Amino acid sequence: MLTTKSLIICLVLCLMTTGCVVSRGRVGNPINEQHLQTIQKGVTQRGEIIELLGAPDRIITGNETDIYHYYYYDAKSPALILLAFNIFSFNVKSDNLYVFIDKQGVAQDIIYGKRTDGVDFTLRPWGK
Amino acid sequence: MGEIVVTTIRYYTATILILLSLATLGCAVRRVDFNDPIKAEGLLFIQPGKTTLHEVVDRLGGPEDLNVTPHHILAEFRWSTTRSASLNLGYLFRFVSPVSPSMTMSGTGINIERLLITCDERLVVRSYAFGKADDHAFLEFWPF
Repeated sequence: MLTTKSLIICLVLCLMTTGCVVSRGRVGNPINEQHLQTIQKGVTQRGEIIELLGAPDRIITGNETDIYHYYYYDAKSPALILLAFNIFSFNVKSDNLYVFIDKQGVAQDIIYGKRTDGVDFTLRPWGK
Repeated sequence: MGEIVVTTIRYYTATILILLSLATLGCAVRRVDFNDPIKAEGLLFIQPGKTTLHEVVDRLGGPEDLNVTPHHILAEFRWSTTRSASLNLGYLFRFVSPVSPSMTMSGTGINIERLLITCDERLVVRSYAFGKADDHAFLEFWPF
């Protein structure tokens, strides 16, 4: 049985969230950090890397080295759509992993940077 | 006397609110942020010849691109802010007409910025430089 108080709270909540839009988009698969830890420099073979991480999204070649590039993008988008005034924000962040593989097919180095932890639903069309 | 002042303040407040409502009718403001901006102050820790790319990535996140040249590895960090605003003047017709035609003025400013870090084959940073970028206004309605 709804009391008057809870009815008012529901009504206020409905009014407050009227016109709110929340959406999310992702590109690629999140990079599995547990799999990354199993890659050992100078030991892990090309085939094992592909088995762990899948085929790379991109291969950079040069100086007798192949660099396997894996990426993941996460986007969160809040919006406020009112009768006559709309505000949209689209916040995107990226994770990038580079695995350096020498001409013998052995992992030589790894560069990994994660930003997607910090992507948020902040609605901020203003500011720098 | 005090009552007149209060009434005048209420009148002005109401007028300002009505003007603000009219001014924002049919407005839309959009913004797309890609990664956090990197500032020159945030790169003071880099010591060319000592700092490695791993240390840079630990602080800034991974580069969006790596390029290999015969003597260097170039790491490119990118971030951008895109702002778009539109004003639909046709919205005003809703008050006098059952049909509101679309008369939209819209502007978009894309501001892509880059930091290029040059490393040697051992991934030790040799130098870095920022790319030049435009700074667009918050609201850009005027397309002409």
